[in-house]
Amino acid sequence: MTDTWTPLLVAAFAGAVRGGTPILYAALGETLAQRAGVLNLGLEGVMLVGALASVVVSYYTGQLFLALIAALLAGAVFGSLHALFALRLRANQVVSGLALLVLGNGITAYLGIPYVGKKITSLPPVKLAGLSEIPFLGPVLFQQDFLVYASYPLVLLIAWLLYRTRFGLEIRAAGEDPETADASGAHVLFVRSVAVIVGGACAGIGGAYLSLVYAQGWIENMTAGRGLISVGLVIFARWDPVRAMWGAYLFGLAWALKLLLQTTGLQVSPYLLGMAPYLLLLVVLIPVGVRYRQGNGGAPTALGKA
Amino acid sequence: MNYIGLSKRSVPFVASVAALLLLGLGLKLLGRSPWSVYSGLFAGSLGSRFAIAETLVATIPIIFCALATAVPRWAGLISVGAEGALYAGAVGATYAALQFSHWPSVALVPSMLLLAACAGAVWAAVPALLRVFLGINETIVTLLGNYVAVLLVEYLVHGVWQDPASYSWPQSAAFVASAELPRWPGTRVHLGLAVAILAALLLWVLRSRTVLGLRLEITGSNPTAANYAGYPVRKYQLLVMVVGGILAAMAGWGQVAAIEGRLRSALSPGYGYSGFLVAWMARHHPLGILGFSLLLAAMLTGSDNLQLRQQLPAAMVNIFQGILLFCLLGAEYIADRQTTKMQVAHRGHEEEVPQ
Repeated sequence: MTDTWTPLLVAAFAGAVRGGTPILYAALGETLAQRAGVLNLGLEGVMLVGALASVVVSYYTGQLFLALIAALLAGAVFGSLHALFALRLRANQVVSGLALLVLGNGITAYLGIPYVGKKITSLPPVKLAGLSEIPFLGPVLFQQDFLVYASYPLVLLIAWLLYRTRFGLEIRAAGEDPETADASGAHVLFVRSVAVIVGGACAGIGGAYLSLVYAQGWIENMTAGRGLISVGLVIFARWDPVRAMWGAYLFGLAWALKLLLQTTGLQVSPYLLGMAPYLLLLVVLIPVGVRYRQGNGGAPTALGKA
Repeated sequence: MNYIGLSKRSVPFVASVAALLLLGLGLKLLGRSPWSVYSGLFAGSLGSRFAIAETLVATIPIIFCALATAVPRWAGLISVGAEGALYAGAVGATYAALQFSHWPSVALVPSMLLLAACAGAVWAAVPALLRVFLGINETIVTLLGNYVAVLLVEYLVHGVWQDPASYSWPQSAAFVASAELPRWPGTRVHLGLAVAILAALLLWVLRSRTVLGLRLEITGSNPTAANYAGYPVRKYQLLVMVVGGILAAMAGWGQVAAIEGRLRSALSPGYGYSGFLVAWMARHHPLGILGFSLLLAAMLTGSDNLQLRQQLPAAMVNIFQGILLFCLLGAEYIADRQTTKMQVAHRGHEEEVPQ
């Protein structure tokens, strides 16, 4: 049995890691933002902006490092737009997030037209010497690319930042009880803004993964709901970076399912399979709701409030 | 305090002008002439009898989708699911059109309307139930539904409902003539416009002249108070979501029954999101929605013209809508700040009044 099934499972899990990585980056950033009490529904738009920025820079310079910096900056700029409106101007966070979504969608569709179908320098896979030889785990986790490897320590870094540093404490305080945080000397507006802008930068990188690795080029609206999934994933992961990682791979698997079932020759409509990630999110949110039916789902208490 | 109300009322107009100016500035930076864009927008939306008729055609789904956003908001919920419910309504209407194609027009048209409404209600009941009984964020679930709905339609038009006459096109068979909606002669303006205006008027009466309307408003502005007053808050929340789903489904019904004459996966260039924008511009007031729907429809129709004449990409509409939403939020902030300052001056206090 092992001979036929192992390669398939390896392909599935490696595909899950690849498909999950863009969601993971966006979800890690959104975890920071939501922990600070800010909901950013516009991640979809932020990811698109990051994806296009990296395509443009990669196309003209061929420098992947610069392409990633561009995605990071573009994401941060869009994140600061959300910080300006939802925090500084105390606008409704949902509406500001949607504005970000619509604007990001429009701007990238407009500016991306010349880059559709253009060949760009994409991020090559790199086998990690030694680790990639581990049976099963090696090909799944360590025969990927730079951005996948960077995401492993990032998960731990965000967890460390949230749970073990003074700034992380201020972030959580700003999300749970902004008045008390303010009274105890934290600058709530500043802390929240930093969380949202860093969150935007992470989503920008997530977008860059899609264009530099996944699609290796620019396609209009290429995120296809991944930004939204990331927002939901943060809730499913109950605002924890490590759980967000497992969740992201679960969704990566849902996306990989389509390609995988085609290789096995099963006849399932690609449109029905395409629903899998969205329906999966719906399904996994239900137990979270059941579990916390009485309270607010364990969400940061001040989440979404100006 | 009349002058304060006036400044609040001017918010959407100030925002629209600011958004148009920002759009012009952006086009200027991209090396296009803003004036030719403005004049192209005007000519394409209001410059001729044909243009005005096309603007009215686009107004219909926007009114429905804006009402579909506004009604849930009355009870404090933020639904972005109009786009999905539009597609669900289109599926319902298509089912009736294909199944009962031998029926006469008087029976077929209402049955399409009814099945569209049912489909919209069922579609919206999912996020509503998840929200009311499990506390799951309705905004996220309604947005998810939008993706699923389009895939569902694509599945249908690539599969069981694919037109047997042309297998190369992902669309359903054309509806029979008796399924078509009555139109204003010589234009594509259809019965849906009358239904949309009627729905807005009815909802205006409901909101401003009935006890239920008042109770919904209290539920929306202060759920805790509504609970203490013994209002059935959960029932209200379910009700507004389902009504919202039905309203958005009407938009889908209009699109398949009068505009396309068949089911296709590209029914809406984002009417659901335009409706969301309109609802927030109109502060969820049904009559305001009628006016601002016309404004946004003019923008959409005008940009169609620009796409044809000046090769300006369709994406410009989304850029404009995003800018407009941000301008709206900015203008609201300025108006609120003025109000607060005036209240402070009025009461003779020096400190800022908390929001």
